[in-house]
Parts: sequence; structure tokens; C-alpha cells
Amino acid sequence: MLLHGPAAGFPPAPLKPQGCDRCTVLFTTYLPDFMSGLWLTVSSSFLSFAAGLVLGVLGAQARRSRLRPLRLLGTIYVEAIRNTPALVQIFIVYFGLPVVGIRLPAFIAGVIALSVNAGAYLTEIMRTGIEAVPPGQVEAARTLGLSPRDSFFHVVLPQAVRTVYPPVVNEFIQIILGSSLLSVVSLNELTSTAQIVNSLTFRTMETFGVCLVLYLILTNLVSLAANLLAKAIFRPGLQPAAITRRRFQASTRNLLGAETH
Amino acid sequence: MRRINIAGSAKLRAAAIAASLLAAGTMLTACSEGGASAAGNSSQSGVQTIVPGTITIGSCLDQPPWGLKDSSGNPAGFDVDLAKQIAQYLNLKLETVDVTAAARVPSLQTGKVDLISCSFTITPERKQQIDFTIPTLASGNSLMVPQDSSIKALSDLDGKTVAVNKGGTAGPVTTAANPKAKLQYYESYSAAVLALTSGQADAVIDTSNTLAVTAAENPKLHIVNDGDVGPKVYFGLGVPKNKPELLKKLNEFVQQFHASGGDTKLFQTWFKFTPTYQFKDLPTS
Repeated sequence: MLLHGPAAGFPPAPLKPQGCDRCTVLFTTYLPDFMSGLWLTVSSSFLSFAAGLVLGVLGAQARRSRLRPLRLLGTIYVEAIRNTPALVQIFIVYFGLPVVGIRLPAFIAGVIALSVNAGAYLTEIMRTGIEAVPPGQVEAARTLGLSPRDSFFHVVLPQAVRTVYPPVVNEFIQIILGSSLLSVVSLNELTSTAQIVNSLTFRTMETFGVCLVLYLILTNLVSLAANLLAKAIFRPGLQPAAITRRRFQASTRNLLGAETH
Repeated sequence: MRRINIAGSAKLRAAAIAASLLAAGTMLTACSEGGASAAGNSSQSGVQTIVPGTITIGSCLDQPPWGLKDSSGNPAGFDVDLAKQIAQYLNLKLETVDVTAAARVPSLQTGKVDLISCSFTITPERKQQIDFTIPTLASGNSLMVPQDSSIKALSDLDGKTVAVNKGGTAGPVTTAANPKAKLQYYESYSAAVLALTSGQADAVIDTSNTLAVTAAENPKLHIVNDGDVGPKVYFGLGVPKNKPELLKKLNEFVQQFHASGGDTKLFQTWFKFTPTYQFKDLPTS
């Protein structure tokens, strides 16, 4: 339901031209609706990402477990989710569960579906991140007397986090874009709001242009925050410093200098 | 025989080449323009369509019995049969394109279809963007609820959820009828009905004819306020702006559609009940 736009007596009153009416109509009349749509996008994406991270960690542990039933459960979860469309998963949670008596409002159903979907992809990301740490690291840690728990948290995990960080950020952005699918189960997030505003105003290019720009701003802010966070917590940084000519000459000078000194 | 050296210098040669290219370009343009207008006028009815010789008509195939896919996957329904009659009247081949309710106006504006035959309500706002023929049908909106629902009138919708089609007029109609109702927008009419049957919504508001058919097929649902939710509206065929020839021909078609009684016959075929108010007192201009 449009919260602030014209309640529109029927037939809908034609929009009165106001100056540069092509530009201003969206920003004066419908801005509050776009903002509430944006808020729903942001809140559903953030919640789904958080829950997906938890599922991802649990799933990765399950797939690496010594117990066969756990490994099987993890594999079934990942394969079932990754090989079916997210839209179908959303439909099943929103329209299908009521058949067995579980009726969920659109927001909760959407977040559950997106979390489960993200959790499967994050499981694989986490698992490969952990397995990418050379086994020699674990062997050395154990040899030095670290307990299995300590060697995991102090040796394996820090290195694994470095590997998984870019794909995890990427998955977060995919969730933000994937939240647009929730428009088909009546959640008035950004895409659905744009569709409704378009059907009321028929200014297709402007409406979806605004929608596109808002998504761009959101995803770019997330990337920026992720980069800043990475700079703060990763030492050395995730990206090797670029090999510029000055750095190359300095490093060769160092090598030669070491010989002559 | 003396060889005539036409292009004696480089500059002259370049000028000659440029002149010949210009001449060729002008001839080609003239040819293609002549060709296009010839193709446009080659149809017996004299209307220009996107694809010469064929009329591309958009219908919504997810809203039985207006538009649906029959058991072999072919388009069928009231609007599709109307499209077939139009193509026959204009002596053109018919190409049916599936459109969603929300895509009706954009597909006309971007030239994807020649006209829209899809329970298209005539509103002043849409008239700013596209043109309509004279009305083909009058329609009211109805309220549909489950059999055991406590909703017996529009005033009972306070705080209840109403599922509506995103691209249609049901949203504003519902808000006008009861501002306290909560709207849920779905991509299609079928999704809105699914929301009702799965319990995600308390009611559906849409055009009375569509709802009457759904209620007849599904005994768990029934109609409240038949044709009475909001004022009656008129359906028309939608065409892009600036197509006076096509509009004129289509208006002639609609006039003979009503005069011949073909409207009642088509309605009875698809809706299985006799129309009451649908074809009465339609404006003829």
C-alpha cells in the first residue's frame, strides 16, 4: 500500500503539471514511497545476510564434519538451494507453507527464503575458504602445542577470513539485488514501489531510473564500507600493493645495496 | 578512342566519389521510404502496422476468461477472440503477444504492439499517454472473499488485507472504497487469487466479470458487492497516440461489434452467463 502518495479517488486525478513536471513529480509526490521501499529493501537484505552468514558457518561445519549424516544434510541443503530458482523458493515459503498450516507475512517469508538461499552459497564460500588454508598450517600449529580449538580460531580462521571476504561481500550485494524478487509476494520494497508508481503515473523511464539510481547508491555504499572495513582489519591489506616502477627500482636497489654494503 | 580522364586530380576524384555516394544515398532513402509506405498501404484496410500485413495485438494471458492459454498452449479467451475478429475485419494476419497488466501502456508506447485487447479500463490518466477506442464493455468491480469470511460489506474491510493486481485500477478503487483496507499488490490476477486461497489475503477486488468466473469455478469463494465496488468503468481497445487511421478503423469495428449483437454472443461464450449491465448505455464517441 502506498503510504504517502495520493490516495487517489477514482478515476485517479491527472497529475497537475508543476514547472519541470517530468522531474519534480517523482521527487515531490512519491519520494516518501520510494524511501519506505528503500527501507524495506535495506532491512530485508541486511537481516537475510546476517541469518545467511549464520547458516553459512553452520553449513560449512556440517559439510566438513566427521559424521556422515551431517555431511549428507549439508550437501543436500547446498545442492537443493543452488540448483533451484530463488523465485520458486520464495513462492514456496509464502504461498506453499500455508497449505501445511504455516502462514507467514510477506516480510518474514521473504527474509526466511532469502536467508536460506544466501546460506547455501555462503556455505560453499566458507567451506572453500577454510579448506584453502594450507594443511601445513594446522600441522605446524598442532606441532607447536596448540589445541584443535586454538589452532582453528587463531591460525585457520584469520587466514580463511582473508580468502572469503571478497566473495562474501559480493554475496551481500547479490542479496540486495535479489531482494527485488520479494516484489512478487506483495512486499513493497524498492522494485515493487517503482512498479506501482509507474502504473499510477506511466512515467516509465523516470520511475525506473530513480529505482536504478537508488540501488546503485545502496550497493556502492556497501562496497565502500566493505573496503574501509577491510583496510582496518586486514594487515597486510587484501590487495597486494601495485608494482609501480618506483617500487620496483627501490626493491632492486635494496637487493644490490645489500651486496655492496 | 580517346580515353576521357574525368578525375584529373585527387581533389576532383574525391569530390566525384562524394557526389556519387550522396546520389546513391538519396536514391536508397527514397527507395526505402517509398518501399515502407508501399508496404504500409499494401494491407487492404490501409492501416500501418508494426509488421506489414500483420496486426500485433497484446493480450493478458493470465486472466481467464479474458485471456488464457488453452490446453495446447495457444492464446484463447474473450480478448483474444476479439483480437481475432479485429484482424479479420482489418484483413490482416493476427499475432498475439502476452503482456502483463502493468506492461500494457509501456508496450504501446514503445511500439511492441499495435493495440491492446486486455480488459483495459479507460482512465483520463491513461488517455494522456495512449488513445482508446469507444468502449467495448462496461464493468464494475466486485469483492471476493472465502465462503466462511466475516466480511459482508466494504465497511468490513477495515484493517483487512485486500489482494489486487499491480498494474490495474483495483488499487486506487479499493483505497477509495475503504481507506482503512490494507493493499497487497501482486504481479497478476492469478497470484492475487492464490493469496486469497492460501490465506495470505482476506479478500480480492477486481473486475466483476473476472471474479464471477473464478467464484463459479471455486466453490470455496463467493462474491460480495457484485459490480458495486466503486463506480462503473468502461473497457476499450488501446492504441498508441498519433495513429488516427488505426483508431478510426477500430472504432468502426467496435460499432458494428455492438450493433450486430456479437458482443453478447462473445460474452456468453466465455463467461457462461448473460450480460446484464455490460453492454447497456455505452457511450458511442
